[in-house]
Amino acid sequence: MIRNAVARQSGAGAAPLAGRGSLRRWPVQPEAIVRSLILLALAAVVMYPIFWLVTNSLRPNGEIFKHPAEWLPPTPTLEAYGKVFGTGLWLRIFLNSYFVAGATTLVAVTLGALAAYGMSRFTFRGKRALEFFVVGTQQIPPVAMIIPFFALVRQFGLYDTHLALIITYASFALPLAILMLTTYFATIPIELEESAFIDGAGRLRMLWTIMRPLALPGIVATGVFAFILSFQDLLFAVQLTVSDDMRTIPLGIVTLIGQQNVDWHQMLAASVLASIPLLVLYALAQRYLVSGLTLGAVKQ
Amino acid sequence: MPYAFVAPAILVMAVLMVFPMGRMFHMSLFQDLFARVGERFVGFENYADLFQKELFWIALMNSIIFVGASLIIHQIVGGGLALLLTSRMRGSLRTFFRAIFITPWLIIPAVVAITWVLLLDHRGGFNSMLRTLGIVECCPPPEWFGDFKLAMPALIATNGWGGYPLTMIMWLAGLQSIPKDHYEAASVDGAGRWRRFRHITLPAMGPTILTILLLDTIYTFRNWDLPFLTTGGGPGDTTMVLPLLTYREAFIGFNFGISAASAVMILLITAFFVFWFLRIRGRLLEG
Repeated sequence: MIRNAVARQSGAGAAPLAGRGSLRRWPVQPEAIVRSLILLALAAVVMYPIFWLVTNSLRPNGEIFKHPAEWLPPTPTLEAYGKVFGTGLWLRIFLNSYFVAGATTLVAVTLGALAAYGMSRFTFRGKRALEFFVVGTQQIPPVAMIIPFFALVRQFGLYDTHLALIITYASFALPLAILMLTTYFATIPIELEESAFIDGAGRLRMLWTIMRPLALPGIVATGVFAFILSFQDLLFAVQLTVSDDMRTIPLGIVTLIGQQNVDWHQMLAASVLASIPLLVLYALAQRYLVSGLTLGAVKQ
Repeated sequence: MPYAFVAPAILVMAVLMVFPMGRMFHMSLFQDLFARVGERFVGFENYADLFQKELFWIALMNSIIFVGASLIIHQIVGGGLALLLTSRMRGSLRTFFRAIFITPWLIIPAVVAITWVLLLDHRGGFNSMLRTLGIVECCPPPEWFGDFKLAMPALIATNGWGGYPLTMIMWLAGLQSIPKDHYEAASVDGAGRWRRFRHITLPAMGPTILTILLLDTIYTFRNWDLPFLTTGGGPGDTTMVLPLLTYREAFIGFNFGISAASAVMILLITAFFVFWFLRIRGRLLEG
């Protein structure tokens, strides 16, 4: 249909093809340069807030809100970072966040993969209803859940524990994990398993030895999603924890906003330090992310 | 056999999503929750109270503006960048630019909020830049998040920056799934860039764009972090959105019943948009 619509415009036949062929041999074409320049300009605009955050974290405390400000700090200093590392509390906060996000990822990916395997490899009664249920739970707004969660967590004696946060985040990450992994598993040919099945491998072993390596992009993408989801949460961390020892990074940063004044200096350094792990995670996983994340996200 | 695989996940979701969900509906029908005198069934009175509050309608309107404007920015910036990134270029260059443009997605909302408050402060970087460029020379420089007229645009810009990468990623995926030979056939037929976009890219991307709009609506409508940390709903109520109202009713007003009613409204409005999008999407996929 699309091709017909375009075919009606047919006029020049071979000429553009020849032109394209010669352009391809010539690596630097003016159009590509213009495009790169546009991308570079846009990249500068997008990176400007981050540039501002990082350079301000390198200013001495009194210079943060100087107007008009210089582009670069005239006397860069690591003073703010010293303040953050000077207290043992921040180390604890960082470890808390990695632990909670890591455990959430493990739970969400494991339970999600099991469910996705069941949903992509079997037909069973109630499967449609189950799909509907999973999609439906994804729409639940977190802000609607804080009071019931608070009551629930209190009831089970989990108030002010990391377990409460892990369970909460895992339950919010699960619907997306199931959806992403189900679509990803569905792309893997079932024949591969049939031969293993004849060799006498059990279902769980097949999931581990055949699906895991083949679905790695999807699994990594799902894991990154679950990790980010729990790493960035502030709402539940505020409501379900109270002691300093339980604080996660977003809460730690927000706690620096006091009643009277804001410790901008420490807050900016902590913000920069908080951003590094996810950037590293992306750099490590980006090979898988582009294929894995997108397939699951778009096909649902 | 299949039930053994899905059971653990379903169990977790039943206990942690369905049960609290039910509890929330239940709470929206009661008053004096968590009070010593004991809760009291009031039917739909909380909803009636909520609809009588002027603030609810203000928050609803603000939410619609916030979501609508954010979605438009996300589509234009995210879609545009995805189109630029899929054009012919060296692989390493593509990886580099993709990493740059994805960066805001990797910054957690708390840091996004702090960065933009720092940037848009009246002594902040943005005003300094405007001054350097000679745009704002008179009068005291604007306090973006504190100005009645500028707070909402500032909030939308903040969310636009933090949220466009997800749209871009999904656009990239959709664009990758369009068969290359469609474009080649069109080129042979002499179709120009705009014609190829109009007759190949757009029709092929239709369902994907609707999926993105759907997810983006869900995510933006429920966004609590950014408004809470940047403006807190102010100045006045100019940036009061529904999640903030829900939060404020519960934790500042201690009207748990009204807060629950407001939460139910968020859910219903989201569900309405989801069904609407799914219907259009279904029609697109058929036609």
